[in-house]
Amino acid sequence: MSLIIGFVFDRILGAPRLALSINLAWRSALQAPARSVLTILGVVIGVASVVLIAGLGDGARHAVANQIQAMGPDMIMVSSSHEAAGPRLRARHAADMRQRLPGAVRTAPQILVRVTAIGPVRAFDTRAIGVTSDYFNLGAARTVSGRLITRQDETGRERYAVLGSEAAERLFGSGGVAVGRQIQVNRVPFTVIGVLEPRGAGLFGEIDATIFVPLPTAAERLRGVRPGAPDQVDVISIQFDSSQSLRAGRGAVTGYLRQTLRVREGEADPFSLVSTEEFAEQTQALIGIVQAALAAVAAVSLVVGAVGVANIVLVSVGERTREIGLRSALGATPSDILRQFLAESVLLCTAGGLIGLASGYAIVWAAGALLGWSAGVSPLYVAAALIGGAGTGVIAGVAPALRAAALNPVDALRAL
Amino acid sequence: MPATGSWSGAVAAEPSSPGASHRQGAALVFSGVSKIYGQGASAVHALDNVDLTIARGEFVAIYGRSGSGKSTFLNLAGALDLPTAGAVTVFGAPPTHTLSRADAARLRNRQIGFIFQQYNLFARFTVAENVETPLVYAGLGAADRSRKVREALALVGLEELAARRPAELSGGQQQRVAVARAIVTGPDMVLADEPTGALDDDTGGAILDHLQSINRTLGVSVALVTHDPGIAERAGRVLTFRNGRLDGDERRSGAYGGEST
Repeated sequence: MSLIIGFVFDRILGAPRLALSINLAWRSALQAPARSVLTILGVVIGVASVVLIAGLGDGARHAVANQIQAMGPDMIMVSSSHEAAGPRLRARHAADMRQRLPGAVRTAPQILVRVTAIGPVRAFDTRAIGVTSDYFNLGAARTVSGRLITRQDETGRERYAVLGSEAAERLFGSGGVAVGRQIQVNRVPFTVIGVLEPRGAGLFGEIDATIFVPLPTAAERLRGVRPGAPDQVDVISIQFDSSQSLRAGRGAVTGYLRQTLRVREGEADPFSLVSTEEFAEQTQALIGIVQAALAAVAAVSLVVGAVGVANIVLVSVGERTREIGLRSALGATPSDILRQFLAESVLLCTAGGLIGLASGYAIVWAAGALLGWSAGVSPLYVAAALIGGAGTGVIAGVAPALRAAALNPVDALRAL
Repeated sequence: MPATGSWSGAVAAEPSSPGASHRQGAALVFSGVSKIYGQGASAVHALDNVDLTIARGEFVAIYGRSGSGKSTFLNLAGALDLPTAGAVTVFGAPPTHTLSRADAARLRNRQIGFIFQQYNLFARFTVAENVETPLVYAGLGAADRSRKVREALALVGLEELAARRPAELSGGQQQRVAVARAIVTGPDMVLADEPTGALDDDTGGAILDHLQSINRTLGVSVALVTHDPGIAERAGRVLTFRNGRLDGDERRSGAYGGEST
């Protein structure tokens, strides 16, 4: 390696003194490899943290964006309050809002029920959602086999089920064989008519593990509502044609529901609202907090790393005082001595930066594979990590290198 | 004489490059030079008001007992240290106390070669790399450096050992490497501090022969520090130091660098 460095700087770049500095730094680092490795640990952790900040932050943002895309963009979700006595959302509110709210393109009332599902392979506890046919258009859901729920299924109160990919896997061992076969949901038999394609880790719940059934069937069969009773629902999703309509729609939804549910002035809303935009903002803020915490770890690690490297270079100056004197006698200027020890510090820290980059990238890659994120590290962050490493080297090396350069040649030669 | 003793003096003019113009006149001039270590009651007068001139091409032995000031003399002559008072002038360059540290380094690199008692070779470098080091600091290109290293090693008969490391050589061979390193830049003066001190008589004699050869064939001034009267006798001129003062200045004809040579 030192031969290659020597060749590049000396023969190609015509900088023999710089080549000698780097060569000496390289040999010095290799002289005590264990010490060198321990010295750069702080820089390794610091740079790895920088890569983690970048890689995981980007991965999380992509995941949120993908999830929102899957759930349906520009959407407001209204939930009934948890107080049993309060007024409830109803399916007809959804139809009403679809017609009245400017920019509302579709609405989807839903009933959420915790259920035990039993299939030929195994039983498991999950969530069933009673939905209308429009629900699947919110996020452009597609099936890998079979079909989605239609209006006829709703009006016919059919005991049909569309399974999330994971639910199909769990109940049947393989999603491919589910369509046309029967399962039991809270002991009610349902026929599987379709299996959805995987949507990835859900931010709004385990979508892939969910069982979807027609809304009226969910109300009557899973919740025990008598036919003809009020069409109460738990959630209404309202999708708008643009983010502008969404922002304006928030007030309109609140106004409509307060009026329809006859909420008096001064009383709290018996429902809660969350928009995809708010959700994205909140999630981004959360990611920002995690990133800031990692940045603090990175900063502390780099400072600790810099102190460690500075300390070791100082030790190196002490050990090689006589060599410094000899080099001065042979014609090394103070700049030559300064460069020699600065090169040692920069070399150590750059090596730490490269190791940190590799380990950080490995963690980002593993986390991405585990969470199903498309995690990657951009070249910009790679450059930042390397410059950060080398920069730490310069900062760490300045004081010891100046000390070495300031040594009086004759005093240095007398050192034992 | 101005009180000096630090490297903070004004930046001197670039020392002249080695060459023919320096082969005439004085190699080294000490004018009222004193060197004091410490202060007050504990102050040690290592050199006390020394005046001397060494001519170009002379082979001079600096003789004296331990503590007589001969090593201090060598350090001041080689611009490794600065006088407390007086001025040291090397080959007509501005006095050393007026040079910046960088200019003093360049002066040492281009005009002075050092040989030490303990060889002082870089253990992790090969023989060729050791000899090459001053040429790197001189900023020479790789091809020129290779040629000069070969020539210097040939002069001391060590071409074959260029790829060895110092630990693989005998003491005499290591000191010959040090001689090659001292002369590789084509200096005007070689300063040798007890160069045979760690060697047996025969090996030490061979080193002295090399120094004599360099002095005669290349016209390089040699100042050799020794406490051995037998070695001092072989020089053309013997400067004897006692308690920091110049106690004798004896010229011999027929010896190295003597008037008859």
